[in-house]
Amino acid sequence: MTEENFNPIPQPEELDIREKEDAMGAYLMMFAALGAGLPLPILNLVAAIIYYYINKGKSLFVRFHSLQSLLSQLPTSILNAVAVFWGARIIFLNYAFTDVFKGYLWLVGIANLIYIIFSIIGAVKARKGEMYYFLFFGRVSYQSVFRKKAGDGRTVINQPPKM
Amino acid sequence: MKRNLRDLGIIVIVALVIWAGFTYFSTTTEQQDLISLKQEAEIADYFNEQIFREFDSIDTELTDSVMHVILNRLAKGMDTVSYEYDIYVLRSDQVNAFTAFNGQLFVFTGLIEQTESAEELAAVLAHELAHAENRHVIKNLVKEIGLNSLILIISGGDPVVMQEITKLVVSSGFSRKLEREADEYAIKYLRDANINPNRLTQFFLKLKQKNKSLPSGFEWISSHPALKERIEFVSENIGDSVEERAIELDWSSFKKSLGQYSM
Repeated sequence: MTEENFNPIPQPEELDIREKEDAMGAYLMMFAALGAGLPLPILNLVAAIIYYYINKGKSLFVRFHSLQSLLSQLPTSILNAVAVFWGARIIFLNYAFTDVFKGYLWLVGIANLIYIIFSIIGAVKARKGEMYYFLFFGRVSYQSVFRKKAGDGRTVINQPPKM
Repeated sequence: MKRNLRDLGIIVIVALVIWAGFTYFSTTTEQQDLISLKQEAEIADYFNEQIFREFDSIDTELTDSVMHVILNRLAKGMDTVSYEYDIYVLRSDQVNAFTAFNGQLFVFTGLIEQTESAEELAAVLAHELAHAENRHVIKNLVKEIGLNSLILIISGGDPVVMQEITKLVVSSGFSRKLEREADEYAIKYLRDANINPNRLTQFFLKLKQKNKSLPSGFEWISSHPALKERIEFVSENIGDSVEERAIELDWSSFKKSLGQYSM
């Protein structure tokens, strides 16, 4: 996997304000969705996917940050959803409140905290026009967004019709 | 690609370590454990005063020894014995038995009347012992009146409040979850003490048949909700059949001797 397979990374001075704000919006938008999706954490996933597709056509910089934000919230959303269903079983179906569930709640709390902290850092960096890579999700997003697709950069030479 | 897998692995492992770590180190302090045994003994003093004001206790050598024999047998099936248990027989027509504080169990003569053997009473007592061992009464009170008020009451011993608590304890209205837990333990106690756990369901069924619509006075049954569900639960969880060793007591003469005290 060489550098040549990837499109060049935009530098801060090459980006206009609009792009930087769209990129920052990707992180902030997830926060709003996370809040709204609290009772049913699946809702914010839907919002995140919609945001990603709206911004897909924009510059690579915006796409990268949208995708990173979308992917990085997947694990927390799944953890939250499981916590809600597990908790509902305990409350409504009288399942036992075990130490395993307690430990799980700690995990969910810590995961959400890490997610929120990194999203804020991501939003600030995006506003400054910087690339910022989360562990794992950063590289996956970069590879997905910046990899050259077949046909990219091919120069078209107009030819006369065959005689 | 390799790095992606490595990073994903790191995330998953860190998450699992956090989960396992917090599971292992989270010591669930149940609220009933916040009331010490000494405090419980103090409530017991107030409570007994109240109970013996309302009911006559039949405190003869015979009742003492009979209860002692049954208790000793049941103790063989218990892996923890948290209290020095006392069983009091109270004179009343109510078909009731209840667990109070500090390992004190109360049985009404009305309930003993309904039993046909010592083993049947042992089954009822096993259920009450299970409530006591798991500190269900304290748990229930904490739920009903809150931990802080309970601690206040213990230090104050307000007679009016104690009267309310007494009513609550005598009616022994436990949640379905606590009843199920008590049944679970009772089955275990009875099995390990060589008494057929079916005795418990037998006693339920007998009462149910005798009294199609439960009249007032059948507190022990009416305070134990969803009787049908419990019978099913007990019979499902009994496991292999138990070879019963009879409790050597002359039950009918014991009942007859109680008869002279009945109202």
